[in-house]
This record gives sequence, structure tokens and C-alpha cells, in this order.
Amino acid sequence: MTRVIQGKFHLALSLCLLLIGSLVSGASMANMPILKGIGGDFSLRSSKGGEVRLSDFSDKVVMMFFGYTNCADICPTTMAHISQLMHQLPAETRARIQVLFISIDSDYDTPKHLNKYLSYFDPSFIGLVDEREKIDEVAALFKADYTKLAEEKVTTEYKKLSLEDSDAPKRQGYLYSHTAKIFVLDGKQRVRGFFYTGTPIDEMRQQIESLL
Amino acid sequence: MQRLLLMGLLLMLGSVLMSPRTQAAEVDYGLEANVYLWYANLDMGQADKRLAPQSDLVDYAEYAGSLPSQGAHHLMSITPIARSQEGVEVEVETEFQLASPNDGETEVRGQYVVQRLSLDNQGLVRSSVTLVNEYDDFTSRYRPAVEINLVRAALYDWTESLDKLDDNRLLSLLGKDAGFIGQEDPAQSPSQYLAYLHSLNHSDSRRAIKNYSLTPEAGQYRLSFEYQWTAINSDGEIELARVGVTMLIAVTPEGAKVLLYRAEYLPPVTDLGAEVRC
Repeated sequence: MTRVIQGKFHLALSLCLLLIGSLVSGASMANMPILKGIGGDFSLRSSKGGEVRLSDFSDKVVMMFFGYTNCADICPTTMAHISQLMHQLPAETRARIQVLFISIDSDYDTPKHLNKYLSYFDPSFIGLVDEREKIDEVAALFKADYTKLAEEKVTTEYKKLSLEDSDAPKRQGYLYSHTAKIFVLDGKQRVRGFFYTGTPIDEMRQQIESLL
Repeated sequence: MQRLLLMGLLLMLGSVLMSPRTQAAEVDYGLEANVYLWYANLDMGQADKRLAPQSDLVDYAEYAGSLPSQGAHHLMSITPIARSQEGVEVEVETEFQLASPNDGETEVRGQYVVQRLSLDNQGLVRSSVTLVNEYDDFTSRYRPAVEINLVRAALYDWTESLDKLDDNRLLSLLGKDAGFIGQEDPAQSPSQYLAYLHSLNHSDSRRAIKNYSLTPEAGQYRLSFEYQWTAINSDGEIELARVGVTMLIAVTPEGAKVLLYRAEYLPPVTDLGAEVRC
């Protein structure tokens, strides 16, 4: 009898310790430090019309990604990953998060084009694009390096053309080499860390909730 | 069940022990500066300048007949042993070279020396006891160590002064007409930069020196390194920064002086595989 009570006591104690331990370690994992020397306010043309500033999203957690609509792999994968996260969040939490997609392809992407592209993932996502100089300034602020690999015949558009009509005139394409980081900013527009396509949704959720 | 108990305990321990900075790996730059200064002064024949008023035993056992003469202490490691209200005890590993008494002779027999130093709260040496004094069974070229030790002491002192916001100490390390370019605003003077740091109301500021290199140049030393800076801001939030630093330090009759300090923010270190994609 005593052994049974002892066993139950040990089980209860173990579960309590496990619970406390996981809570405490979870809290410390969720902590995102402020990363200094990166970021700052900017304004760009919005896919929703007009011009927006980063500071317009004060008090919201911002997930920001630099990409382009012709990107065949990492951009759609990343946006789908963020979209998956957003769909798992309650409406009140979603309302306090803003996803920004900054196009580095100001030669091709327009606000209208971005709006259509992003609506496939989540209509609340905002695309930003502008003159090359302004995009470069923002990319420099966030140390989001990118390079245009010109004359590489590898864009989706080109591939489609080739498949459809082999006699069609050869069109020159391009792609961009760019960072795959999702920048996470707090309500004061301070960079708090990064997510990647491989970051587990649960971890992203936990980190974001720690900033709200 | 025992496994559950163990897991719970481990998780709790882990969360308690894993702080934003790993405490065990921290180097005490103020202490390092004082130790380097001690050996620099010893090699300059001015040990008395770094001796505490109430010093006990300094055995000078590395010198022939325990009588200090020209030599070079090349420091290999500094390990804190004990701390108390009176000061700190450290164990210092050095490669010691006693200069040859014969003019022009540069090949000397080195010694592996381990000493236990006791320093007071002002960083002055109260005692130095030699624990190990082994002679090499080969000779090597004599290399003076004074300048390198003074330069390293200046670097550690500078770093400590930035973290502790000891304005007087930091400004005293600057040479006349020194160049200063802070990472926030390149136009700020050193005093303005210090005022800015004070205004941040940081606590627990800590600049860890990483990727350090020291290159002698004509009459001065070029230091290149990275500060991994962590601090807690006035809202209790942890701030992190990587700052790339270049310093030029010259050894003058007044000691090592900073001729140039140039700092700039570096991008945060992230998963390299995710940095650039097409």
C-alpha cells in the first residue's frame, strides 16, 4: 500500500517538475533579443495602393521577406510557410501581425502584380516595391544582400515559353540571388531575429507570441 | 517514472543555467589588463609601479638568482582561481625568456613558468609565487614582450572602460589627436559617444572580444577584432550587436595610447545556408 502511495507521489512530482521545466525552458527559448545595427524606418509603394512606412505598423509584429514574384523556389516556399503559420493563429493574433514582401525586382514587379501574387498565399500580406534606389536603401538598412544574375535563361516565364513553343524567339531571363531570411520585427520596428523556411511552425508561433 | 523525474530536473537546470551569455566562458577584461600590465612593468624593470602597498612575497623565481633583470614574459593563459573581498588570485602561464647577458647573443633558453598572482581591488600585485619553472631543452630567439603586453593591456582596459562606462579611464587611453569613429554616428567625438552610451541606461553591458588579430606596423600596432556586445536596456530587454573594430595603438613613454578607434555594426550571424538563395 505504502509503495503504491509512494509511486503515485513520485509520478505526480515528476509530472510537476516536467511541466515546470518545460514551461521555464519554453519561456527562455521564446526570448528574442533586440538585434542592434540592423533595420530602420522606410517607405515604399504598397500593393494595396499608396505608400506605406514601416512605422505604420507600430504595435504589430512584422514578418518581412525580400524576394520577387518570378522566383521559382525559395520565395513561394517561404510565403507558403508563413501563410501556414498565419492560418494556425487565432484571428485576434493574426490582426496583430503584418507580413511584408519587399520585391527586389523593381524591373518586373508592380504593386498590382504583387497584390495578385500575394493573394494566393494570404490576402492580408502586403507587397512593397519601388524604384531600384529605394529598394537598395531598404535592403542596405536590413543588410539583405541581393544580386541580379542577368541573362540567365532560367526564369519561370522563359521555361514556360520554351515548353510551349520551341520555335519562339529566345528570350533572355534572369534570376536574383537573395537572402532567404524572414526578418522578425517587434512593435517598435526593431529586428528581433529571423525565421527560415525550415523553422518549425510551433517555434515561429511561440516566438511571435512572445513579442505580442 | 525516474526518467520523467530526470527529464524535468534537466529541463529546469538547463533553463536556469542557460543565460543569454554563458557565464563560464566570460573573460574578465579588467583582470586581464592588470595581469598584462604587471608583466609589462616587470619586463620594463618597473615592477614596483604595479606592486600593492601591502605586498607580501614576490619570489621572482624565473630570474637567475631570483634577481629581476631584463626578460620577456609571453603570456599563455590567465586563470582566475579565487575571488574575495580583498581581491583576486589568478594562475598565469607564461613562456619566459631571460635576456642573455652577452651582447649580441639572441638565442636564449626559454622557460615554462606558472605563477600564482594575488591582486588587490586596485589591480595591484600583492604576491607572486612561482609554481612551475621548467627550462626548455632547446634555445629560441629572444623576443621582447613589453610592447605586446602593454598593447593587450590597453585593449582590455579600453573594453572594460566601455562596458563600465569609466569615462576618465577611457579618455586617458586616447592619444593626442586620436581618430575616433563610433558605430552609431561617425561624427561623434569620444565624449559625445560616451554621453550617448550613458543615455542608453544599459545594465550588464558586456563586450566579448572575438576574432582578434594584432599586426605590428611602423611604430604602432593594428588590432582588428569583433565585439559581441550584449546589454540589458532600460526596459529589461536583451540587446545584441556585432561590432567590427579596428584600433591603432602605439606605445609611448606614457604607456600604450589609442591612436585610432573605428567601429561599425556587422550583420547578425545567421545560418549561412539560408543567407543567399536564388
